[in-house]
Amino acid sequence: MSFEFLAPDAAQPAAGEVPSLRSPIEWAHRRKGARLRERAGWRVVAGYGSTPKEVAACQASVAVADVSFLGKLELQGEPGVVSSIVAQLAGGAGLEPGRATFHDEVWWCPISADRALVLTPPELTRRLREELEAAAAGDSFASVHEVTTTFGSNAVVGPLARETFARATALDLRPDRFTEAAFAPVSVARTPGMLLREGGDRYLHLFGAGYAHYTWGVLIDAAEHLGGRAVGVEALSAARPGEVQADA
Amino acid sequence: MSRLPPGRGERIDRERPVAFSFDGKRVAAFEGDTIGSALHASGRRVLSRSFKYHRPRGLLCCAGQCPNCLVEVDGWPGVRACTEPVREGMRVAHMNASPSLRFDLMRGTDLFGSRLTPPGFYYKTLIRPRRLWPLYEKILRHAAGLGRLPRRQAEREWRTEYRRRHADVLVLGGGVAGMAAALRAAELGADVVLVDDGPELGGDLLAGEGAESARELAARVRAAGVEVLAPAAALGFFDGIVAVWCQSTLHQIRAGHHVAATGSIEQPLMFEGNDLPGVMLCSGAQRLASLYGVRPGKAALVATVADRGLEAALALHEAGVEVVGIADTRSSGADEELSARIAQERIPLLRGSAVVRAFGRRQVKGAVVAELDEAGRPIADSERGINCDLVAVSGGTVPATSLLLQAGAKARWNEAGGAYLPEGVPPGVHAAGAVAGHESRDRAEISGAAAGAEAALELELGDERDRARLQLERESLSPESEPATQLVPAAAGSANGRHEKCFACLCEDVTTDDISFSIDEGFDSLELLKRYTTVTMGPCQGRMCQLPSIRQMAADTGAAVGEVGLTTARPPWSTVPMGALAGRPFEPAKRSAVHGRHQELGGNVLWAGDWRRPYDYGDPEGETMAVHEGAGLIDVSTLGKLIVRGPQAGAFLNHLYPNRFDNLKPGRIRYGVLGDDAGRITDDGTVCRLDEQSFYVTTTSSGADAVESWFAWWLAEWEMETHLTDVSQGLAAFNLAGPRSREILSALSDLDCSNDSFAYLDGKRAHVAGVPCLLLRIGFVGELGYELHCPGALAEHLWDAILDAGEAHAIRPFGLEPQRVLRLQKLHILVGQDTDAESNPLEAAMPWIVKFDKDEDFIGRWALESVNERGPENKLVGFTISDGVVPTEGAAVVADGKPVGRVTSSRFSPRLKRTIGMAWVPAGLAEDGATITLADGGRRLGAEVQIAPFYDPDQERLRG
Repeated sequence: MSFEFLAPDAAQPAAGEVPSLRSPIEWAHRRKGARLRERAGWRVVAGYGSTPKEVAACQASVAVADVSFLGKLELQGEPGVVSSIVAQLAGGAGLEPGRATFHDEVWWCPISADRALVLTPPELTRRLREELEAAAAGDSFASVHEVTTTFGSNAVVGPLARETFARATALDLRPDRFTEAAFAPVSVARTPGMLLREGGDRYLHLFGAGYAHYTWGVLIDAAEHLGGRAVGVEALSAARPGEVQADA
Repeated sequence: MSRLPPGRGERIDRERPVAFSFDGKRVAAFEGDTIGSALHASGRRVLSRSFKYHRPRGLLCCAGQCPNCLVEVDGWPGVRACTEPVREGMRVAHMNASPSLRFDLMRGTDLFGSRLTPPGFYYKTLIRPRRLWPLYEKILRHAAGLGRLPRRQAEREWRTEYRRRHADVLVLGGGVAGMAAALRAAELGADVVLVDDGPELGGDLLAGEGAESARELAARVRAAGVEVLAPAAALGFFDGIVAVWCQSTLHQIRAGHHVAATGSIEQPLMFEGNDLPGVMLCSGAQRLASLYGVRPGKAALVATVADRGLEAALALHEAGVEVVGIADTRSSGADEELSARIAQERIPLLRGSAVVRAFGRRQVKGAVVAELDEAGRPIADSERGINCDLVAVSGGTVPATSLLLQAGAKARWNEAGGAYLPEGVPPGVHAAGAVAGHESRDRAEISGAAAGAEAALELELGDERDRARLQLERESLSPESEPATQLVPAAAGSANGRHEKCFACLCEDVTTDDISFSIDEGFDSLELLKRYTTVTMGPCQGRMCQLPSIRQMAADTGAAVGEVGLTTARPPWSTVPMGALAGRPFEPAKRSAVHGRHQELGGNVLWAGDWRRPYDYGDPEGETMAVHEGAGLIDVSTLGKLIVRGPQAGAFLNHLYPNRFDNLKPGRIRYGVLGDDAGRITDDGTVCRLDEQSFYVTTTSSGADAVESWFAWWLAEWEMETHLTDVSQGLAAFNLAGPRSREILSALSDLDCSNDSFAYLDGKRAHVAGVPCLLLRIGFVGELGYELHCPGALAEHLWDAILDAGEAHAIRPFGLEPQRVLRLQKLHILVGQDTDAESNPLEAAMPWIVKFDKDEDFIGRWALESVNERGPENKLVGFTISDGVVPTEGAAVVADGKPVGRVTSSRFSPRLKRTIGMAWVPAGLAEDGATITLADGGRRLGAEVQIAPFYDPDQERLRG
């Protein structure tokens, strides 16, 4: 493919090992004492120490987890073409402005009428990319780009998640305004990004990967001030098993 | 100790003692006390010294409204003692007095110097010699001021932050009206935030018989889900946002509807010595007694203009304070029931009388009362002295309209009420309670509930029954009752004894004489008077002084009070630390995926645009030489990277760039310069054609976002069948450069890296150390080099692999500074450094890049054709200086003593052993060997122009 250099999952064995995929701020997690584990080629943060404390943060205050390993694909085309491809692959679902669609572990997020962002568990990224490319190869011009590493992503979870964001963004996140599956552009701490409310008090924040360290710092600082903490994926899974596609 | 027996509504817990220190001495208090109540209970009457005259000041309002009790708490200046709760071990100190609060040397300005220091004296007396103004200013600031900030940074650090809160209804004021409004709106389903500046909801009710019902109402408000922010100061309306400061957080509240239930403010009275400790507002004395169980004085004289003073006298009497008399300015019109109760309690009621002077050295010892004539002036021979240690005054009330006025309401003078009342409240804003003229408890509660209902109903909450209920409530409130009659005398002074100061503004120590003096000087409009005297500009923000100064001005000018007008209501309505306004500092920074490696390698990381990048790794010269002699690796992940894809992608780029891209072959790279409509250079970079329909475009690091926006804008305008995807932050990019770079790359990849197979300006895709890469053979630094672009998730792996493989070839990481030297040797421009807002490619030594023979129109074509026709006026050239002196970047190029150009870049090249640079010079000087003169500060430097690159002019190393 022409765009293999965009795809982290295109890494090949060299000198006897396949290069591991790393978060844009894995170096910062390592310094914080993160425990790393492998998932679909990625080295993900399993936790930072006490899993029970991290689970408690998810349930009682607020937890922030680096989930940059989520697959991200961008689909572009005429509005009708994009809708058609999404409907084809998302079980007939349409794209509604401001709302994401969850289907088969994949979030389909409308950026505009002619552009959609697709969020996948890392295990599904390659397959879905190929399916999208196949679907986009029709008569009408549509394009699919792998943008997994273009965006960093943090899961912000817990009853104080909304309060955490209130320290850094003016977006109205009241539950009746930013309902479940709401998806919106957002400025967090003066950096552009996107926010998805996955459900309940669980948010997924996407931002330019270059800002990953800055954004992480801002959210962790706000969360810790509110009694929360950084957590790994083990705590995310344990806190709400089976609910989140980001969990292993 | 002057504690009263326990009362029902008191806020203190007598079972929980708390100790703190004031000026180093231990003070006993109870939990629930404020610093002010505890100090008053311990017998201290003087808490601070005034701003200008350093007069002793004590508690006045006990509600955080006035400036009289500002103290320093644990090193923090400007804390109001009357509202700040005591904490065990807190260190409280006086402000603005030296050497002690009791003996303050600067009191001399009051006793001896006040005639020399009228308003604006410093504008007149300290203007010459002008150079001494900084000294004068320092002395003035030292003499006056409101406390001192800690000098050491550690003591100044304070975590503050912003919190954004959206709400359906924001209620300002936690008195009965505010609580009723919040409760009703919440009951109808609104998301409500209630803000109150007191430590406890309830407002004036807390200091009276309504304390219990106020607390019950507060409990219902909380139970209804209302978010209560208290103690919290609403600072102002800012285009739909109300800023509220609560502890260390500045809440930015954006609500659909606002209810202003900000109540009213009791006013002081104007008489000589009206600032002496022991002169208190009636409401302040009541608060002290009822909330904190503190006896405000042993013998109280009440001075009033309305029934409020009569109520206060009865309340003080019932609390156990001896009320030695009531001086009521009214001869008649007092509430009959109140008058009867006062008579029953045998409290002397002096009708038609006013206090004309309070006396005492450091605190009130007594007061002089005089009868008033029909015009409200004291009758000289009617004066009599009354011994007392408390003068409780009530100059009536004024609605606290400032926030309403900031929201867009207007103010109208009400003669009967003696105050400016709000009118014309804008849509979405509702007024309730005393600020809307509903003073009594019942009316305030009804008006609050009605305002809350109105707000909720306008948000389409509630139903017809709620509308009907609202209608009944509105009817019960009308017709509007006129405010109770009050008679406020002009500033009064004793006809006997020496003339004492009578203060209109306690914050800024502005006396009634100062106002008269300023008017005589011509400052006869209120806004001018405000600026000249600074009246209303102190910490009380006009709460205590606006109306008294207006009255004084009216008396002096003969105008009616209503004609004088109000000063403009501006935020902040309450004093707020600058730190709270600043909030948490957000300084967005981008970092590459291998930022951690740069730190581990000792990178000198600095700002570069919005990126944090290593300028060098400690040895810029050595890093430069490594690139020339072996190999170097630089992280260029900061470059902008765009994918332009589609059937019309080539045509799209042809329209954007002055050069041609539709004929670029797949796998080849071309340099491109972007320009604006005027042909001026805005950015540059490379374009690699990936396939027939796809291009990979790089931009400068700092221009990435702007270029992406530029492309997107024109794409929308031209509606071309092309897609644009920004992968700038997703792809890492490293430049592997130097004569050994080919060997290093070959060791890591199966790619044929020979010059024949992978030539200069070729772009290829391959795996390097297992990492999928786009490799661009380009040479910004002037040596054989490859730019490797790969997914950021694999960046650390690739970086490590290259450095490992390059170890045998003496590879070194290099930073921005070596890169700048290296590119300068090749005369490769840096957009923004070597170009400015006037530079075009024809003059910037790149005429070859503009293809006037293209079929397509391109942005800036017309402008560039114009430049081409007239010929370049200036040119960007290289220059060398042989003696090793490096001119400052920005130094002028001069000819005949006049500036004709400027140096854009200059460095000493360790490779070439001489100074090299680039400069804009007149076109006539842009010739090899021409001599130019540089004016750099005070020195003149001779330099020689060079048109060709300084290093490898034939590009043998680059293309080899």
